[in-house]
Amino acid sequence: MRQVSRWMAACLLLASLPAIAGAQGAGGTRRVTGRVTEQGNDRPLAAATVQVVGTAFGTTTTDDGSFAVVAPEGDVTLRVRRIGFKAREVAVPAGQQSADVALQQDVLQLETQVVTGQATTISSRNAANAVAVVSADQLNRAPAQTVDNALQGKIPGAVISQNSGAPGGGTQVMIRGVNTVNGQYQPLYVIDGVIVNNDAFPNGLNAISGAGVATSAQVAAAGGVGQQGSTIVSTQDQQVNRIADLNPNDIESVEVLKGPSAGAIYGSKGANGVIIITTKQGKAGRPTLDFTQRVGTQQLAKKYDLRCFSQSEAAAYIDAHATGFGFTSAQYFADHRYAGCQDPQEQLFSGDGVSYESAGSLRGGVGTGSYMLSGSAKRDQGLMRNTGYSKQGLRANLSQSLGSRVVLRGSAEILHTLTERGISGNDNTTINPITIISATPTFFDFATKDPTTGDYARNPWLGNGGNVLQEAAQVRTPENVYRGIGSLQGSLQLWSSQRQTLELQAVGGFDTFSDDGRVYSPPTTYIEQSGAISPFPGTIVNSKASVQNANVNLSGTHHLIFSPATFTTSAGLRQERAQADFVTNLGQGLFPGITNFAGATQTAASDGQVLTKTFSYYAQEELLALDEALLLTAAINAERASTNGDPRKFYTFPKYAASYRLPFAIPATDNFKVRLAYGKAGNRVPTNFKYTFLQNQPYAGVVGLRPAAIVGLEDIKPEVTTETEGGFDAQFLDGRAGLELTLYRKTTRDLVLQAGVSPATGFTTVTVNGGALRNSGTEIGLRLAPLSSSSRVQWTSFTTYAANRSLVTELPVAPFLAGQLFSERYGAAKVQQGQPNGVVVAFDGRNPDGTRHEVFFGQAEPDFQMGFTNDITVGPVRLSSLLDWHKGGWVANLTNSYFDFNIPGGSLADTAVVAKRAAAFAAGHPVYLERGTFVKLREVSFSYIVPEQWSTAIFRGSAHDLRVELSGRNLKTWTRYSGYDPEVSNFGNQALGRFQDVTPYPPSRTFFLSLVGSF
Amino acid sequence: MRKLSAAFGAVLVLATACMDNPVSPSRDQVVAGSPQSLQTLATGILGATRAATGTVAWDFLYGGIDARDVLRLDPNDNRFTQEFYVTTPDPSSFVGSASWQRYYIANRAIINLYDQPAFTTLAAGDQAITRGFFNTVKALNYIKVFETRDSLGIALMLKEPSALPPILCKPSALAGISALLDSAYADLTASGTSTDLPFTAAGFDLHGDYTTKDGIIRFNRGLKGKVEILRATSRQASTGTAGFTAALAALDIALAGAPASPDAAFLAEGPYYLFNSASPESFPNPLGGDTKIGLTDNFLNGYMAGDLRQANVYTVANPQQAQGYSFTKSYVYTKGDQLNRPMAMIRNAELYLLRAEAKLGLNDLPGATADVNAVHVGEGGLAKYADFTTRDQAIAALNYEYRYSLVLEGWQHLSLLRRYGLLTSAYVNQAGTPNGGAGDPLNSVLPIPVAEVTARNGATACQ
Repeated sequence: MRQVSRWMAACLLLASLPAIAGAQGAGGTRRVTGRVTEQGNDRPLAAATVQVVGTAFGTTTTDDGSFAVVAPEGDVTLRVRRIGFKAREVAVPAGQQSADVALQQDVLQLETQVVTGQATTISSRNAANAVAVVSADQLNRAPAQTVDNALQGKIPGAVISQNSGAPGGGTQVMIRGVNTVNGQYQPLYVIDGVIVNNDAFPNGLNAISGAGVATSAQVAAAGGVGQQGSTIVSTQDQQVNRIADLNPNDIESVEVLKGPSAGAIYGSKGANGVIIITTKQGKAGRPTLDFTQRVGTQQLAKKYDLRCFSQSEAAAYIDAHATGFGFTSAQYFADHRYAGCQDPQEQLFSGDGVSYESAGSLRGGVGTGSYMLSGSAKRDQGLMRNTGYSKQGLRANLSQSLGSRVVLRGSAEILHTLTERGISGNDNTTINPITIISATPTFFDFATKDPTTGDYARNPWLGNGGNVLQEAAQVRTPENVYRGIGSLQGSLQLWSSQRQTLELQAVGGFDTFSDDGRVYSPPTTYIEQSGAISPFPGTIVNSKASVQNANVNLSGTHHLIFSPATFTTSAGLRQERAQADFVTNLGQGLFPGITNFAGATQTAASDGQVLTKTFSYYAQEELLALDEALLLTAAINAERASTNGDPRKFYTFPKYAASYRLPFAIPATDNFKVRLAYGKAGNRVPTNFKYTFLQNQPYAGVVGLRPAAIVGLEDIKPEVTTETEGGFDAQFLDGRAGLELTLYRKTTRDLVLQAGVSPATGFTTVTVNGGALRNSGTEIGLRLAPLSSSSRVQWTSFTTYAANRSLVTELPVAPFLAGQLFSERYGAAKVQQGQPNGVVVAFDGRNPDGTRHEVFFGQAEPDFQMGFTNDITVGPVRLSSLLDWHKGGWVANLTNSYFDFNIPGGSLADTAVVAKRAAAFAAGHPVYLERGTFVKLREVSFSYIVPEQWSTAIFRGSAHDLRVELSGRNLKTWTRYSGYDPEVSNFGNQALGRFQDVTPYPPSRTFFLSLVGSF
Repeated sequence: MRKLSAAFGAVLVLATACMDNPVSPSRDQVVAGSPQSLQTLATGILGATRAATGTVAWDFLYGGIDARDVLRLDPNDNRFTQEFYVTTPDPSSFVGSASWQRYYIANRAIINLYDQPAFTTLAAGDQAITRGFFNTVKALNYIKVFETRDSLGIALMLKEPSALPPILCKPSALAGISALLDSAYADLTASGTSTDLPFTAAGFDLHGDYTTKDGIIRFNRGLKGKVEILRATSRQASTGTAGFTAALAALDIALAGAPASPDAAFLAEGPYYLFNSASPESFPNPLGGDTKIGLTDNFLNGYMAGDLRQANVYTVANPQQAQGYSFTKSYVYTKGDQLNRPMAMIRNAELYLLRAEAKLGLNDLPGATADVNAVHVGEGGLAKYADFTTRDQAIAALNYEYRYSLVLEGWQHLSLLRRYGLLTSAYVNQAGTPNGGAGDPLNSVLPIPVAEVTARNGATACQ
């Protein structure tokens, strides 16, 4: 701590030196007025910033584009910037009192402001890091269920994968590879300065699926009434990471700091990147009401081609394989009838119903204040009957200036989501519809009704009688999330002169939500009655997660501006608190109609609590010099956290960065910037890894304790990732082309490993800090405007390429299987020195000594990914598309094994393939491991701007900017992958081994018709 | 591993300052040398021992599948058929890695107990009987592991947690377990006036009383007899006649005072694992309510006419099928109302059969016949066998009794098939069993789990 204090003092002293030196030279001032317009059409541009170069003087334009700025006497230069336009500098000679400026559209969006610190930003022209920025327009071109879905394919270097096609999200974001084995692997999300929770909580589906076979620890902690060894909840509950709650409509922009060289300012949460979300703010001027109305539908994107049986084949099949059931083909046909060739996938995943979304926002300003009020309601129908996703949200963003020195901003958002995802993923009770379908010949019609009860008929081919349509009709899995996110920001300009400003900023925010999951499986289903779930028919699970996150940032920023350079010094502190409580109640043995836990004959409960506290200091110095061609940055963050072995020890995370725009013209380029950045960031120690617990082990109704099998590490410290990033940004053809190339190398040390030890020691796992791994890669972004003029035709294109390679360079423990897995026969992730992190391994045949032969297949993540975004505008018509190509990677397709084995000869139409695969599997070959290459048409959007006279006529002149859109998402997938979708993860989000495909919720393609406009 | 040692040293230095886990147990409540803390740790050991048999391991089931007596048909997981009937158990899956780590976890809990104030502050006699009891439980756990690995060998845990115990080949492993049992026996006999455990050992007084010194000694000697039978019948370094003699001596103590013609109740006596589906324990019998477990046709067809044990067979409400197999009948243990059914660790029926084996090994065919008849009549309700005149007769009779008295109680039947070379016989490998033909791997052991192989860099050959 003393070292940190010394460092901070030195930093602040250094920062003050130029301030003292430059605190001279202020002379007389004058007033320059003018107007900022769009080049070509003279449309006024509001909210453009007008800065007097070389001074601290600046202002922003009003609604009509006008401005008035204080400037020194003598010749000055105004720099005018606005998002979506190219910056421009205009000379204003001494004595000239006005200057009108026309800005040219930045169709490629090459110039934006990007975050560099807690309270500082800089133009992307100078940025020393490859910071990705996604605008609201790019985010919402095709409606997506969640924000992370909407980001797919738009951030070079980010692998964003859905876990299944279930409604409501469940998506993993991995930026520049995985830096960990057991730690956090997803980026940090920050919304308007508030660090928000992105955890996923299980809803208790495991109580009826029995998917998670418990460890002894889990058994003791959570029980498992009627489920041998299973728990009430598991990581196979197909849970949703809660960033899904956010409303994409409220987002103004998303910035992505991809690694430690940019994210070091976030200390021990910056190693995996930081996604900074800025919501829409109010704007000066009269109120504007924007609205969006969408209606849509969805289709099953892919299905298995099932095997059909002629009547004679069915008879032969029954007589050969149903002897154990006590019926002959004649009896079967009499009782159940031959139903031809049914496809229950089409029956169940019919996607009935209409999806819709209504969103509106009111933005405006009153005096020195502004406001943005928004509301939205949406319903996404699921493919599976009685599944879907609903969301409602209200947001208010207010801003008020108090005099000329104080600005206050407040935001508050309340959200409600209701997710009904049905049953999918791994199960052990044969309740998953895909499992049932794979085990039932297609000549049985699930839609057949029992003539006595009127209910769907019992499935004669399964011991539990499971009928997928009955389950869909009766089993409910609602999950309600009520969430509030709020922040209050204040800035106080303590001092302002021609050369200097000193400002204090304070941000306080909270994120709190309640996630109420419920699983209700009534006693009237065949599966419940069969005892397959428990001997007590009828299951109910009530789960509740309560999350409260809060953080406070205090910072000060000093700008010193003089002719050759601008110094920006900032320093501050941040405090965070994150708490989560989780309670689950399981009831079994329900009387029909009873839906409350207290009415169950068997009950069990579990709970858990987590509390993490973090405190950090930071300081940063930025130097912008040589006519803003050179940027030098140095920063440090010192942080302590309660999850560390020593909660009082500060760990420091520095960063250094430089960028330089070449002052001479490289042939054929307009602008060429080289950049280099180095940074160090940490990865939080997972909660409780420092303890070796006494495990609850009750017996005969009495509390018992034993040493846990996992050994904690008392002096555990955070993983540390250092990153060196370099590259260049070039602009060509008068701003009609831009190329950015970035190379990076990240090294993570002090890995928090829960390494396997010999189980014969009585422990399974020991926690260690050690080892190292490396991620290195290349990112290329190419922006083109092949057709871009003031004419009616415009074509812009953005192509991204990203490739990441990981390598475990040191491992102080024996290699071990990582993540969750089923077995090496299907494919598993392994951590082994000299191999990619989480390398995919599988048994393939046997070694000469008879042991299984382990083969290394390579990394599970794609070899590379490319995104192709194109926007073509012809007059009022715009066509946008996004193709997302993931090359390589591996997927363990266990779903195929269900279709291969669950009925004799398999359930698939291509019986030859089934026979070949089954034989190869029996011979010990990893036939279910497949390449995961795919190309997806992620987004297509066709929009038409309604002529002004039409909208005037329809809305009597009150509406404008009316647009009609037809859009689709995931309309087409090109892949050789034989399963439903190579984008899949049975175990949800996890650092390694997320490539398990087990009877997932199938993928859908969605279509939406939208009407967008303003009043 | 040094860190492992250091961490283990702090196993009980836990959560008083646990700011980020408010629910962790309190050190003060556990380590003090009070009767409550002894009971808590003892209960934890018994719970861990019970946990080792159930959940993933299904220790009661897998041996029966390999012996072709039972099967589990699961549309969710073809490994219950694939890895038993078609190929070999996968050491990285829940099948091949079963019955290993959890037993060691339980034994680590036993070793841990001896260092705790809750134990060290006991009177010497109480320490002796407690140590004698738990070392016998520890030996039981090793026997359970051994039965699943047999010729592959097993490790016997060392006190130092960071020390990697070697994997001992069958003779050494069994010798080690035998020595452990003798050590426990010595403790028990030296416990002086302490004749009862200073804590409650639930399940040990359910059928017979195994919580007293005499009862624990019977438990101990029963296991000793079993180990000596395994040693004597081993094809690697068989202890031969000496082994059978030692087994007989131990089993005579275990069955001291036992009737020559026991009834079913007496044959059921022994220490039992308890299961409890009620919250908060929520640990039901892993067989109870499992509708996917059934009996093979081969097993059903093998019953002698009039065998009372057939009453345990029931016709399932809904036939089960998967992967081309099916069944219509199951065993009483799998019924939905058996969630709280206790399961024997070892019981008198098995002790009689073990003693019959000992006598057979010593060529006492009449004696062997008498002990086989104890079960044949006592549980089967069948007419007594006439004295065996050949060894094969005795083995066939033993095979029948092991099969029909101990089905779904563990690996006893498969172990017998291994001991007497019956694995490849037409008895097992015949029509009516799953696969039941050429290509049936007739697995008799589970592999060394991948976690163990990996931790030893592949060097798992026994020593």
